[in-house]
Amino acid sequence: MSFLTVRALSKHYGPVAALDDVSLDVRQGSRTAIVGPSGSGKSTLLRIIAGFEAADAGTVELDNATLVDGANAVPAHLRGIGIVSQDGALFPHLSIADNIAFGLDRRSPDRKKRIADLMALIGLDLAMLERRPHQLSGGQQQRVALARALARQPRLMLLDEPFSALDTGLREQMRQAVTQILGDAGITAVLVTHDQAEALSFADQVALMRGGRLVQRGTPRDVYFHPADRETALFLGDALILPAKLDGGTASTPLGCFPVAKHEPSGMAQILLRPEQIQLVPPDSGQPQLEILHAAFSGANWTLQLRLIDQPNHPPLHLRISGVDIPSTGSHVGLAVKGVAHVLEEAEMSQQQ
Amino acid sequence: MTQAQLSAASLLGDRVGRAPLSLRPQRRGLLSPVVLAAAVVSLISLVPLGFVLWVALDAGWDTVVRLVFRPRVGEFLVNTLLLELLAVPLCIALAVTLAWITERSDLPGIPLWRAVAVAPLAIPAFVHSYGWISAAPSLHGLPGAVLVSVLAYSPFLYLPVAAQLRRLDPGLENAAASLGKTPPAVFALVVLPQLRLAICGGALLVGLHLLAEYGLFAMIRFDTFATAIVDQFQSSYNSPVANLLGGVLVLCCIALLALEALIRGSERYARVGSGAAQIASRHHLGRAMPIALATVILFAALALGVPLITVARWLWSGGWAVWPLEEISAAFGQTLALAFGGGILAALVAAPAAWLSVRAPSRLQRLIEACHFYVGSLPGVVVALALVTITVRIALPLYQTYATLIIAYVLLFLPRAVTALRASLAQAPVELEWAAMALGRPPLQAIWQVTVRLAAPGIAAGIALVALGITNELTATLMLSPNGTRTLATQFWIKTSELDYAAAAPYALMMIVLSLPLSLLLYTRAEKAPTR
Amino acid sequence: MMMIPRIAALSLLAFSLLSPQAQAQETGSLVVYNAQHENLAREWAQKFTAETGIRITMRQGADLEMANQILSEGEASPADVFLTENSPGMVLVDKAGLFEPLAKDTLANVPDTFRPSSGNWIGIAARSTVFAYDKTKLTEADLPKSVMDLADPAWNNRWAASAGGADFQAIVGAILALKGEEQTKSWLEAMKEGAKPYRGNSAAMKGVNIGEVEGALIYHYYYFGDQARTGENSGNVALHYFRNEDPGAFVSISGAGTLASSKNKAQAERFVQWITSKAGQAVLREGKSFEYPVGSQEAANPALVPLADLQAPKLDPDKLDSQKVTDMMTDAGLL
Repeated sequence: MSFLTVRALSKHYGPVAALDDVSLDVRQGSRTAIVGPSGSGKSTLLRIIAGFEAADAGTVELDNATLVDGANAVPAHLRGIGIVSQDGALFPHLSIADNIAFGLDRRSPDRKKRIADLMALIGLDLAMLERRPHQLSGGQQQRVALARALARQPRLMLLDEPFSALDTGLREQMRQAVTQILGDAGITAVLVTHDQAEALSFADQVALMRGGRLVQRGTPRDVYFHPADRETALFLGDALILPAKLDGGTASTPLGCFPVAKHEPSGMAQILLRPEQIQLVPPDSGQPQLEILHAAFSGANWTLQLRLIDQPNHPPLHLRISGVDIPSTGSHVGLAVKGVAHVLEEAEMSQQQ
Repeated sequence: MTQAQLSAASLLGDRVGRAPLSLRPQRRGLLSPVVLAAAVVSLISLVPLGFVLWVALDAGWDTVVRLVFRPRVGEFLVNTLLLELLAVPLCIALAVTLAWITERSDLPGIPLWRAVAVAPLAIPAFVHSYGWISAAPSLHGLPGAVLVSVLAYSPFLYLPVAAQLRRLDPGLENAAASLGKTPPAVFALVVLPQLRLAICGGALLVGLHLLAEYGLFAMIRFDTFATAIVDQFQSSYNSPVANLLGGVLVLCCIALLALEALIRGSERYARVGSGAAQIASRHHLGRAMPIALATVILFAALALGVPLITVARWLWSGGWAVWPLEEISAAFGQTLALAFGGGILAALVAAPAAWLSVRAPSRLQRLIEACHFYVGSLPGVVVALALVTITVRIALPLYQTYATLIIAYVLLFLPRAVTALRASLAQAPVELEWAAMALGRPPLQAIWQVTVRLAAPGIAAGIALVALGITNELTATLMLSPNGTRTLATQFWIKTSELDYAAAAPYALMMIVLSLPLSLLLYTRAEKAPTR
Repeated sequence: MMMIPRIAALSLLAFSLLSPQAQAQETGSLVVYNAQHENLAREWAQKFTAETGIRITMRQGADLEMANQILSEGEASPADVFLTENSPGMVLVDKAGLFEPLAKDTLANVPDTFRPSSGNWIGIAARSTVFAYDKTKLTEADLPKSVMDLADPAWNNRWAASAGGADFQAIVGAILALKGEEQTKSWLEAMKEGAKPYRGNSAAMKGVNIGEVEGALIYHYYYFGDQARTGENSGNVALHYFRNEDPGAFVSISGAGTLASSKNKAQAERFVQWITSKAGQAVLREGKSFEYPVGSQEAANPALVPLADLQAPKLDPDKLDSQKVTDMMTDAGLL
């Protein structure tokens, strides 16, 4: 059953549509990531759910209570929704203890204990309680912001790019910690991010936004391997997109024939292969052969530039691939594909242009 | 954090009881009432301009021609032009020199010299004049006017130029030096162009002061539009002559604003690329040290020594007889009350426009802001003339009231308040307000506890800036104040008009005493200003 | 959260500091528009308040500024009493019919040469025109015989005046009344060429003292006032009286009147009566104003040349046309 329900939400800034008919369901206790490039409307959606901004039309329900109905809305401070934003938004004029206790009742007798519990929960030393936010590192600040939001026992936690200001290593660590804490507390969470890897690793449900519209929604695996269109495919990760002729579960491409889902209709289409599906194999006379024009090493991966030997007019292909032994520049290779290729929807693609 | 995971589940135990949620029609935050308030302030700020237009229309073209196109007005125009052309460039040269010495040279005692460069601000312009005519009685006319105004107004240029100089990325200068430029060439080709905006802004401020100032020029016997308007006012109250001269003066101000906009252009200089800016190294003065030292000492002697020694001398020669304590304390109290009453009101009135410019910039907002800024560029005489005429003819209950006087103060010093508030609101990002609301604070409480609290130092600085202006304001106070009002400035003026310099000295001293902490506050804020 | 009450308290305090003056007007005490020297009027007001308990709130200004201000304010004028340095300001208000006629016994304090026939206002002090000259540069023989002689190009750049002041404009009023428009016009044009402008009579006298100019057309008491203080601005100065009923021997009358719009007419009348009484006029003799007393047969300060010896031209104070004077001076480029 849906815990957070967004229906037909729209919001315009002047002539520009920030949100266009967006609907979304979030199950209780789940983690949803809303991902999209900047300007896609994901932050606007979050601000409307939080109550910082008014919608033009549409509804938002949380736990069967209506929060937004067109221009009518429940004010932010009555919603019981926690939020952690990009830079933490800690109050610079208050100590860490006062920041965490900001949302607590002043007269609450177990106030001190609650603060201490929360500090333990986020793994910060109690000695930091009297410090000011600027005396903490970025990661510590984000933890305090999380504790501050948790202190009010929110029904829903909104995370607005909370990890994007952190260094790469710390980011991964924070993401895991937050996932753990929210999971243990059973709090429903909605994360907004422009980082597809973060979205895919954080969420049980990924919602992809572009140009104010929600273009796709599903499990991380589903959206990654079966993106709705070319743009989504490229946004979510590296992809090899090839023109193909479909015929009864097989796609014929300049690189060879690959299996596709049986129910795909016959005809011309674009197919998607993720780098993870592709392997370099020794050249085989039955398959098209490629020449390695250039190979750039970047630690975990190699980026290869490949040329189709049979078809000199075909533009070079770029492929990122992992492996220890990469054939040297100038050598000839063939490609092998694991699993099935995904057929992209043409109509969706042209509409987006 | 692993051992803490145990308590995570317990945290969700009993949730605070929540009131049933009810939908309310959403005002767009506080936007519309704020826009309305800012628009009302803008309309009021347009009153003086409307008044000038009305005067011109009311008088009719023939009267305008007879009263405006005459040789005497031509003399004022020439005087004004000469004053601007001489004083502004000299002021720029002086301020840039002082700024370079205090920010980029290794002269010992930099903190002292910085204070010296700013300190003339704490001495009202007409007290500078008072100092000079006591020290050099024959000083008068254009040379006197240029000398005294350059000394009195140089801090208006020094402050922005020094701040900008401190902010400059020495990387650019190092790059120029590595490309084979000599230090003077580096200064001319790299540093000076980057100071252009600061110089333009400061020069505009000085130029507007030259147009608006009455006391300084009246005392040094130099006729400008402002002195002529006051003369006319004194012989015929709100006559068409005074009002039309006011109109010409407004045209001069507008011309100056336009000229500055033209020179400033739309170009912006900023560091290209990322990475932390370096700290500038100071130039070794070497043999030029005595010259730099002589420059700052000479400036200190002329801009601080002359007025302060004059005040001290008159106080000495006047003895206890010039200290009628009851009168002086009454004037001090009234000045204080007007200064801070006006300061607080100006901050309140400026708040909507400042809020809009930070939180909801738009075309309308820019128009509103322009209104707030133009009115501050008008001379006190013009605003006072407008308010005298309007209150006596239309709004009689407001005539000769503190309300009208404070309205004049607020209009005159509105830009100071808007600038300070705008900067301080920018220190309080909206995300913090949102965080407070998400944590259960109603909007107004969130604004009060977070935004206002964070902006408080800036708001205080804005109030101080306006209070400083009001403390040293003369013409509007003379023309608008209610019966029986005695401020330090008006009492000082009445005494000096009768050449009773000794009796005027305590008032000069009190004005300096009152201005000093306010100037100090501004100085330390400028020091603390972000360095990038 | 404590800040709202604090700000409120602060602004309340701010305005309470302003209020005593505001209250003064409400309790039926007097509002005096004063264009006389502040020190003199203050001394009058303090002694009057001490004697009668009637409090006085003063607004300081210049003769014609305040006269025109009263005209602008009309019925709504907050002023009860108007004091000037010279008569043209009085005449302006009188012609607008805004004065309340003074009581007979008040008028009786001052001889009719020092008040208009209308009896709507009254003289309270007098001051004589003088030519203050640099005694280190000029001898008696070099001095102008008549004020009209200053128009001679020989005097170019040698003499000073404060054209913007009501004092000087009263003198021009006298020239206009005695010599007519034609001569006055050319005299003003000559002045524009030949006189150095100063702001205020004190400043002009100071200019003479430090040798900037050789002489200045001012009133007598600036010299005596400075001599009584430090003498710093008049050590090199001597006074030349034109006498012979020359326009330059013009004696200007300072006036007082009560406003018809006043709500405190009795107290207003009482103040004017007190100024012209023995006690009020004694302030002129004893104080540091050095103006001539005109009422209650009070003698002048012994340092002064007696008023009777000045051979002033006879002029009805009603005849001084301030509007014409400012127009002519504006046309001549002096204003």
